[in-house]
Amino acid sequence: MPFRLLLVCCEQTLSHLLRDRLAGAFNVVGTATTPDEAIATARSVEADVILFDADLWKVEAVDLIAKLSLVSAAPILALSSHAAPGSLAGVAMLESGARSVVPKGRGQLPLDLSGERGEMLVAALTRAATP
Amino acid sequence: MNVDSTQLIEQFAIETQEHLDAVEPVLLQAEWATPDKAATAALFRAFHSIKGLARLLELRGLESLANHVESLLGEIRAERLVLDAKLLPLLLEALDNIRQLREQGIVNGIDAEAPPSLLERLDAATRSAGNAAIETSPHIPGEGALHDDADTLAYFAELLCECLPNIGDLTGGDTAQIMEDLDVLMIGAERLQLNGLRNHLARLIAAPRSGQIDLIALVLADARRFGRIAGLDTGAEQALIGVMPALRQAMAATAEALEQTLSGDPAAAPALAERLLRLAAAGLNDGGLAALVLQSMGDEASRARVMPAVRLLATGFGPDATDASDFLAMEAERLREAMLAERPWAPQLRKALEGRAIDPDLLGEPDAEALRQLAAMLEGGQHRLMAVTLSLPPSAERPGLFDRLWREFHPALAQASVSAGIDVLAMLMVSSQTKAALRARVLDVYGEAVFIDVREFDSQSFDNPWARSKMATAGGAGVGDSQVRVPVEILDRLFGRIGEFFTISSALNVLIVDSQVPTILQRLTDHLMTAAPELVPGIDVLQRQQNDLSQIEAEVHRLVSLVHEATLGLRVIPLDVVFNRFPRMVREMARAHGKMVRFEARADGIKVDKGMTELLADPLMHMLRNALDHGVEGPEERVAANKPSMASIRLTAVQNGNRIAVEIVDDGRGIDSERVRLRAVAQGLVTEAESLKLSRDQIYRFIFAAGFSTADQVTDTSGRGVGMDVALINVSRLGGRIDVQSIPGQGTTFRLDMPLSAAMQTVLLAETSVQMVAFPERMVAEAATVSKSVVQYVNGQRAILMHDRFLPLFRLADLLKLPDTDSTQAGDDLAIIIVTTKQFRYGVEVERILRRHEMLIRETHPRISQLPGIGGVSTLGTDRIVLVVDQDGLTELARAAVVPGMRTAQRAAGS
Repeated sequence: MPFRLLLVCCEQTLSHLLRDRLAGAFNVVGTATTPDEAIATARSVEADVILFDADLWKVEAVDLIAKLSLVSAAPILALSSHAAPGSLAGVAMLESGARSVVPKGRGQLPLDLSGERGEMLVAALTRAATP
Repeated sequence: MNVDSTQLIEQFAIETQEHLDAVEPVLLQAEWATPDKAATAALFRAFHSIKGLARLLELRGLESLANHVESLLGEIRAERLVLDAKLLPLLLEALDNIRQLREQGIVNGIDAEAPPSLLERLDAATRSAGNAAIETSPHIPGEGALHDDADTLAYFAELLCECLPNIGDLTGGDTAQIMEDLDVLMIGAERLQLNGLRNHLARLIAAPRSGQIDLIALVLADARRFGRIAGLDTGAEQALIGVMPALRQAMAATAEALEQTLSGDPAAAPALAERLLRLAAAGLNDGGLAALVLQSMGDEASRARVMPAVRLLATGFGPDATDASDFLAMEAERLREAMLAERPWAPQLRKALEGRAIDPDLLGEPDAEALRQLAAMLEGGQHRLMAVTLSLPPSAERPGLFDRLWREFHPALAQASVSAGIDVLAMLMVSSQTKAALRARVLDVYGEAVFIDVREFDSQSFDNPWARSKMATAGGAGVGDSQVRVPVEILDRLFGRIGEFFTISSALNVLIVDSQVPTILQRLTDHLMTAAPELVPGIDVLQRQQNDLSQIEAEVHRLVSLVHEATLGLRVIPLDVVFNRFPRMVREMARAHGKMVRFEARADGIKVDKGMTELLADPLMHMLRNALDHGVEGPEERVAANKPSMASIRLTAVQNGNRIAVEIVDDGRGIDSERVRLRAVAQGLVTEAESLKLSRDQIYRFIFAAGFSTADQVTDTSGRGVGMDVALINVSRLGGRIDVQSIPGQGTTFRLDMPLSAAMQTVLLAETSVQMVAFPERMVAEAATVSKSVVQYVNGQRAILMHDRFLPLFRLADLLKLPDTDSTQAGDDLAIIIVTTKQFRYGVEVERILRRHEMLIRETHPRISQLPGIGGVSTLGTDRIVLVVDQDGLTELARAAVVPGMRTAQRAAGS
């Protein structure tokens, strides 16, 4: 049984890209692109892990992480273009309830998801989802 | 961020500021005197406007607060309430909160909620008017609210306050009461569907005593987050006091275990690091150290580096320690720096990117290829930062495309966005290739792109998707504070003064630079040494003061130049601002008409006077509509005519000296001149007999007649006979003209040719022996210094061999007929600028190539504009007149000067 994944990403192009990339390794049980949708879906859908793309939100991403961690029991993996190891943003996300933070390669849209970076993401998600 | 929303925010900032500025004095005065009817009405209107503006920007929290204030003022206006000393503090508090929410909306783009207690008090005050029928707007929760109803959230916070504080009893003490409390909390969490918290509570209730501290930490962290989001007290801080001893003990033990694990069994380390963070998140003051330690578990080197931090956590939370938070914070800072410094390329590159207004934090972990490119750019040379934007295919085809783009370009940054209604991908890359070559490579990878834009990256770009997000610079100057509205006349006057100042400063500069004083002083010193040694100290003083003077002058001149340059940029804005609004319009219209159109808009970084963009927008819109509606055909018709089903419309701008040409080119069916003629006769614009005498070009002019239309049917977009006449009027007002060229079956070109009252242009500066000359950058293919010996004669024409091709070579002074004092250049080298046009490539010999420069090209004096090859004049810092070369004119001159026979020889040599 593949792990159930909830995908929260406000940027449509990346959301589609991630869904396509992860569909094989995970059972994508929901996607959300707005803060309201994210809260509602995280509440109603049973997931083993939430993939939260932290870029480009109109609201504070760390607040949304905190809210998601309150309304869902699933661990949250935050994907961010601003959260290189040691960055304040990464620390803030972890302290707001993210189980782990995965930095993106270059810019907000990882073009190389089909390669090694995609595999790293799958591995990190699997690790976070494993009880 | 797209231009529209930036402008919207700016507008919002300015207008709300005006309202707030109007409100405050009225409220402050109310302390002494009750405002009269007019003042109250003005207050009411101001808050009403703020409410409306907030709604526009979807700042719900601000909207809600303004709405509450408006309701209260409504009661005051209706004289059911008096604005007295009791109400005033409330209104002032509301005003402060409105300022804060506005600020957050503008600076951070955050729709923050208004404090519920304030809203409640405003409501209560409004209700006290005793009017039962007043409407209070329903509480509008912010985006992504935890719950629709603020009261429910407040109720749960109260529940937390009651039940949490004694959670420490679990670790020793009477557990019966706290277990009951936890049960109550769990029911509450379930009601609010706080599933994460519910899960933690359930596990805590079921946990054996030994595992409790971790779950208590989780519950406390949840409560803290809930409190932060809802803006309410949750009792978590109080609870922490009771739990603290156990929490610290667990923390110290975990850190100690981690310390041993790191040197022994690294596989178990991540779990321990996770536990550290879990415990710390309950509210321990660790300065973020636990999170940093967790982030360093990836590889051996990083694990080794965190040893001191782990050691400090073990002792800092140990039984003997008092408050170690300062040490922890210091260590956290040290560790953070060490982690960021892992990327040695970072500081240099950060600076380079920041200089181009790109957020360096976006540059995660570039691979070797990207680093190599970026390093090449830092070294200078031909490598430049290029931004490539292209439209995206349907999502199913994207993964493949992204992969191919990745392999082909290895962009430094990539980002998807929706621009003018189209999904686009923006890539930032370092390349030594020209725009055209990059474009061709993109087309190689993805030939179906309906939109491709390649431009050199320029920090002036308005819609730089890589700019540091406003979110990240919270606390910076708000748009509202940094915006001033200034009438253009005042600016013009200011520019005039600064221009004069600059001229005087330049004259002073020449005076100092050419000054004879230092040499004369030197000579005096030499003489006085023997003749009158007692005067030498006096000369020394003079010399020193002369040095000081010239140093200060240099600094003043530099500053004045900077000020001068800055003012030049104030009135000009990129033409892109106008062009950017069209892609979406064209796309939507094409869809509505069932046409397939590839639209391309290129302003090539041309900047124009702001007033001009306002006059240009309308004509361009009408002409684009015209091209879409009448110009290009539907896919079937095109295929039947043996044309590709996708039509093309191009909107381009080219600057020639102090004129700008904007072209709208379509590859549609062309204009049916016979039909235009018949229509013109039918509409009584011309008699049948006269119309037959007209040339085709003259017939085309009827398109611009008021009320003229060839459309048989009026459509949504055009055919009403309004539009082209407006276009002509506006372009005429700009002192320009519109030309139409059309080939039946092949397409139509509208060309708008206008003078630029002021236009910034990047030029390459060069010198002849008597005159400084500027070559607009776009006509320069290459600038090189070559040895005189490479000049050859091909059929009597001076030529040089460049890249296996003979190029005719001309002396600029000869072409422009400039006086030439020294015809034989000293030295063995020639400075050559290779000029390229569509059909002709040639070399221009100058005395010296100076540098790239951004300058304002002015309206040319008629006498100068008559000079062939000269497009305009400008002045340079040292007050020297610079002639700006006109591409077409110079090429004409070169063509005329070429010795017959060169063309054939060139081809023979080149093949």
